Amino acid sequence: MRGDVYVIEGHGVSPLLVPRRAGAASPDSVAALQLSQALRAITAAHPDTKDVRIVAEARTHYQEVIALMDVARAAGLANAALEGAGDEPAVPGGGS
Amino acid sequence: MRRRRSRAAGMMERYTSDGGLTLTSMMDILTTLLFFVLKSYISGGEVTVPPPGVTLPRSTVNAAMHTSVVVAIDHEDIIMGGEKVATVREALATDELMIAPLAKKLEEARSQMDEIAQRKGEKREVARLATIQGDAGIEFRVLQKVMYTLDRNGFPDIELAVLKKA
Repeated sequence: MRGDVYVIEGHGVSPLLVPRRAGAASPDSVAALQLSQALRAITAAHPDTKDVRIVAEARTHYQEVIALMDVARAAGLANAALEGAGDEPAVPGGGS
Repeated sequence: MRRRRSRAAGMMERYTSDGGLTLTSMMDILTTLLFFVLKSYISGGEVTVPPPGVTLPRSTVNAAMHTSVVVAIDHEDIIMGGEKVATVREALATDELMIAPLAKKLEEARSQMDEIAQRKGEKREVARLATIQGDAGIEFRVLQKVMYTLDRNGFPDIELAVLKKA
């Protein structure tokens, strides 16, 4: 999550930007659909990939983090790690 | 004299048995066992409803909760085992990711779990699972500090409690 966009990045994946309503409790339906399609395309191309790193801003709502974990899980990325947008280490997100 | 004797005999009859266990004794034993089992279960962690004021986020996930140490976060406080450990304001007051009062409380919980495991004779390392019951509206920086503190204090497996979306 970066300001007013969701950024999808990864090894061998072209960065993709999806518009985001900053401060919203969760992605709107259009953003959720775009994120879902992008992540599904990635998991289709890399079927062994199960890990996802969700990088949230300090003031991101917890509900939005959970919503993104849901989108990722639905796309086949079940192992989520949460990380702050600064330089903090990733912490496993566990099962929600 | 006769009356006193017959009364004593009556009492003897009432309190002697034929050698088998009476219902009262059986109930005492069962109650003691029940308390023992409950105590062991509770000491190993807890599965609780979120405290008042915590509205869990909604999720599509469909997984059961496990018995674990529970840390609840609302807009004001960080609560562990139903007891307020620190305020959110205190946690955010420093740049440190570690929340010291929570770390202390986790250390106590960890040593208690280890002691119980030792008494039970368990040789395997105790699974240290923690569940965060965070209010949907809290900021990620609070959640991050709590997760970091859990991870660095012997609870690397963290579950996030959610409400299932209808």
